Amino acid sequence: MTQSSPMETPPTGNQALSKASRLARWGREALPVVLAFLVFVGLWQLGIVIFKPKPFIVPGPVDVGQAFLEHGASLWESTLITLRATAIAFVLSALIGAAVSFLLTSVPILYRAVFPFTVVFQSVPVIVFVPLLLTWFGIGLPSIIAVAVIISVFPIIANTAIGLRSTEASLKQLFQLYGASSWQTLFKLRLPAALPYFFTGLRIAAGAAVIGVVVGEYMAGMASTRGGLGFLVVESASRLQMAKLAATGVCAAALGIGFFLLVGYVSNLFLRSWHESARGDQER
Amino acid sequence: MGSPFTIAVKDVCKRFPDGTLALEGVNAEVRAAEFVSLVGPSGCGKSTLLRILAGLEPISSGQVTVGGFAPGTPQARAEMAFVFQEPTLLPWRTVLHNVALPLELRGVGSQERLARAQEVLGLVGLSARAGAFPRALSGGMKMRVSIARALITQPKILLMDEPFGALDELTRQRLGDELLSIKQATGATVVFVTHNMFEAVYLSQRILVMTPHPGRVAEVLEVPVAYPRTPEFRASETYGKLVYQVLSVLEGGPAVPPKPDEVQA
Repeated sequence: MTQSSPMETPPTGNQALSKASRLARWGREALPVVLAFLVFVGLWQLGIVIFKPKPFIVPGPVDVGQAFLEHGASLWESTLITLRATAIAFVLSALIGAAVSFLLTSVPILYRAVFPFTVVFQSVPVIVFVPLLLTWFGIGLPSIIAVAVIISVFPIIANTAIGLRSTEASLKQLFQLYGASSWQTLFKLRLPAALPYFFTGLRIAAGAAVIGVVVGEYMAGMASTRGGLGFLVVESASRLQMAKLAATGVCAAALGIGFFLLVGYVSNLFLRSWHESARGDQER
Repeated sequence: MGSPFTIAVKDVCKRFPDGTLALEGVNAEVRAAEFVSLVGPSGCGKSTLLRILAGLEPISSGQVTVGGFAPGTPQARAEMAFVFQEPTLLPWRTVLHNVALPLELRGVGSQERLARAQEVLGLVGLSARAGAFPRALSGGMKMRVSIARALITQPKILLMDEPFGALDELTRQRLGDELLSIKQATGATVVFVTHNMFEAVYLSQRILVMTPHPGRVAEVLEVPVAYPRTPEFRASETYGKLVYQVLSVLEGGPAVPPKPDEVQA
């Protein structure tokens, strides 16, 4: 009884990979991406050199680079403004999303009645809401945040609700057999079990929040004097500064990727030790 | 031993909401500190009967008492533990905290419950893995953790629902032996569901052979061999005859032993 069997060794060794093999893996995964990017930029510049289009029709990589140097200060300022709005919208979405999904799954009738509408609501193009929101909240940060919340809250609601509903039946029975209170079942079983789903929702929401803020700024920006990246889009487009427009796009993309990576990192911190979705060295 | 805890099942019928008759006229008794197996093909109602004993499933008619109480009452639950087919561990908890869970749910203080968890982990030979997360364990180790968790409340009755069904044969036999020594050490009553007649004969003192459509107890067989059971038991004539008998009942025949005078059915 006391001897543990030699036959059963854990199936996954979780010793860290050596530095060399980690570097090799990084090279294997990142190198093709870097090469593809360089080839793309090279072909782009080549096309510019051969066909010589007007810069306000097709800007070349060099033009975009120059735009970064020339408008660096305003790009940076706008990126910070967009970053701030995105952060606020993202936190609001996370709170609202968690609360709504919890409410929906706690009351089965509510879930059945309301959940389909969240899907319907989600398929309405966000542009439709913008004029409404601008009328309600005025031109400014509240409207922009509202647009971003509208498109980023639904992935959180949908994923978290699924997570809260898909607690394994046998685990619920286990808790039932030990006479667990509903609070105990909630905090020790349902919430932790839903956490990976919540983080999946957050990851999708991170990208969506950036898009929402830029769209909101774009719509609101037409009337304001200074603002975020969406406003820069309006401004450079109206002045036919296509290189600056492209540079703005690069900033927005960088912001989206940064947010996505940040959420992924936090999610990994929480789930690393136990969930399959967490990227760990054990997995590959 | 000598504990008054027994299980009594009288004329139990169980009809599922969809109309399927899962159990009909089932009678069974389990004496204190006895090891009883429920054997039969899928659909014979063996798991349903076990879940009824645990209070996880209501009955349609009849009477059931577990340790003198109705199943599902706090008194009945306090004296039993259920081991599921899957290990049912919480993946976000370490082995130690998984094992301590039942005491935690009952409000036992942290220090005491972790010490108890460490103790029962020793019982299943997993002291060294207390800090591991379930996903780092093999199937057999996970099942050991699950059994340790069941033991931590010192239950008088262990209800086990095909616990070794997903394991390879060697691990299955080893865990079977470990289960028998735990049973001997703790004096617990064990009700063990399996579809594997070899396992049932090797482990049990008594075997309830069940047949489907509707589920009923077709035969009760005694295994007249004292514990501890050794690997040699698997090669003995008695073992072969008993397996043969279980098989002939499952195939719809009477429990005719090859030589009727040697084994009392």
